[in-house]
Amino acid sequence: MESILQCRGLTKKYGNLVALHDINLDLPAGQIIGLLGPNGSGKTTLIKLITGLLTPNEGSILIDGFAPGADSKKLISYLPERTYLSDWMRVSDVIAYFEDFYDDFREDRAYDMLNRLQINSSARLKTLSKGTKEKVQLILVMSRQARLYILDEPIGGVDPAARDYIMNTILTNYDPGATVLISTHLISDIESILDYVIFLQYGQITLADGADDIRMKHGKSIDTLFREVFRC
Amino acid sequence: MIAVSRLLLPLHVILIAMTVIGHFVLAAGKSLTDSSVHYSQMSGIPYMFYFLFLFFTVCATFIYMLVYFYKSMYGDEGYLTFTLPADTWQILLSKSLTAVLWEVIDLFISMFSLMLLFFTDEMWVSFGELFSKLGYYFYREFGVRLTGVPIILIIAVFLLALLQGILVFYLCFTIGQISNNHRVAAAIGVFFGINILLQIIVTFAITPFFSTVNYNNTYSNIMGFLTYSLIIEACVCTGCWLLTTYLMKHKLNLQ
Repeated sequence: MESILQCRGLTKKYGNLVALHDINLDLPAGQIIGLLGPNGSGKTTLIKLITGLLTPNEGSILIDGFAPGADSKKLISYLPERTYLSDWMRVSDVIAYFEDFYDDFREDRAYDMLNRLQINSSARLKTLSKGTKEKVQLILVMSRQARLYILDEPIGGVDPAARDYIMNTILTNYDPGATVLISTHLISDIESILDYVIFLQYGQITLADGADDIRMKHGKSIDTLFREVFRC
Repeated sequence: MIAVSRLLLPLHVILIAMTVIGHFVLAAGKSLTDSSVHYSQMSGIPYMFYFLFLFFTVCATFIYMLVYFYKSMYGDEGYLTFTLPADTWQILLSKSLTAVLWEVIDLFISMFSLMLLFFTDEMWVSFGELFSKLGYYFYREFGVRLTGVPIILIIAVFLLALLQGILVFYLCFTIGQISNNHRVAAAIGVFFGINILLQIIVTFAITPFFSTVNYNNTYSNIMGFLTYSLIIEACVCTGCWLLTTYLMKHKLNLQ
C-alpha cells in the first residue's frame, strides 16, 4: 500500500519529559486515519512534528517523500487545536489570504460551505463565537485540495449537533486519494468513518491497524477497546 | 503589512494632523506680535502634548513591530505562519521589510513634523547648504564630483542600522522560543547577552580603522568611518539573518 507519511525512530523531548519515543509509522494513502489516545499521550506533538511546528530530537519524517518544509506544507492542510487567525480580519479576508498562499485552495467551495452554515463572510472574526471560528478554520482547511489533511481535535470544542456537521464536512469535502489524519479522544463520534486506527499511549504507538481488522480481532468496537486500553 | 498598518497608519495620520494644525497656530501666533508673551505662555501645554505624542509614536512604532513579530511567529498566529508553503527566509524577509519600511516612514514623518513646526526660514536655507557643502568637500578631497556618494553612504549606514536593530531582536525572540518555559524572559536575557557580544565584536572590528586615521583630513576619516560602519553592520545583519533562519528551520518549538 502506498504510504503518504513515514516516521522513523521519531523521538521528541521537552526538557526531561519524553513526549514521543522511537515512533516508527507508515500512514497509508487515501484513508481516514484516527490518531487516538488520552490527553497527554503525544497526539498533538506527533502532528506538530509532521507539520514542522516542532523539530524532533531524533529520527526523521517524510511526507510524500519530502522532509517537513515548504514542499511538504504545500501537501498538508492542517487544522490546529487552537485559533490561529487574526481577530481583526473578516471571514472574506482570510479566504482571500488562503487563496493567495495555496494554489489548491477552492474559493467557491469555501463560500459554499459558509453559506450552508449561514456564516456571514463580511463578519469580523472577533465578533464570532469560539465554535463558529472553529468552523471557519475547518472550512478553510477543507477547501484545499490537499494530499494530507491533518485535523487536531476538530470536534473537541463544539456541541454535539455541530459535530455531525463537521464530520459530514470532512467526509464530503476531502478529495478521493487524499489522506485524512484525525486526532481525537472522542472516539464514538468518529469511529464510523475511520479506515485505519493508531493508538498512542505515553508517547508510543500501542496499536496501528485497519479499523475493521481491529473490530474483528478484538470482537468489539474501537470505542470500547479504547476505554479498556486507556482505563484510568 | 495590512495588520501592522491598522495601528500605525492612524497613529501617524494623527501626528501629521497635529503638525499641520500646530504649524498654522504658530504662524498665527507670530502675527500677534503685541501679545507674543501671552501667546508663548499659552502654547506651552500644546507643545508638551505634541512632544509626548511624538515620543509615543516613535516608541510605539518600534515596540509594535516587535510585538507583531512575536505574535505572528511564536504566538498562536505562528501556527498559520509556519504552515504556509513558504521558506523561512521568505517569512523573515517579509517581516523585516515591513518593519524597516515602517521605521523609515516613522522617521520621515517625525522629522518632517519637527522641521515643519520649528524650522525658521534661515534654517531651511542652511539645511540645503549642508548638502551642497558635503558635495564640495568630496570634490576637494578626491577631485570627483560625486555629491550623491556620501549621502548614499549615510543613508545606507542608517538603513542597515535600522535593519540590524530589528534583526537582533528577531534573533533574540527566535532563540527565546527554543526554551520550553519563560520564552519572553529568555529572549530578554539573550538580548543582553547578544548586545554585550556585539559590543566586543564591533570594538575589535573597528580597531583597524583607527590605525588608518589621518588627523589632517577629517573628511576622509568620516568617509572611512562610514565605510567601516557599513561593512560591520552588513556582517552583523548577515550573521543575525543566517542564525535566525537556521533556528526557525531546525529548532522551531511551537508548543
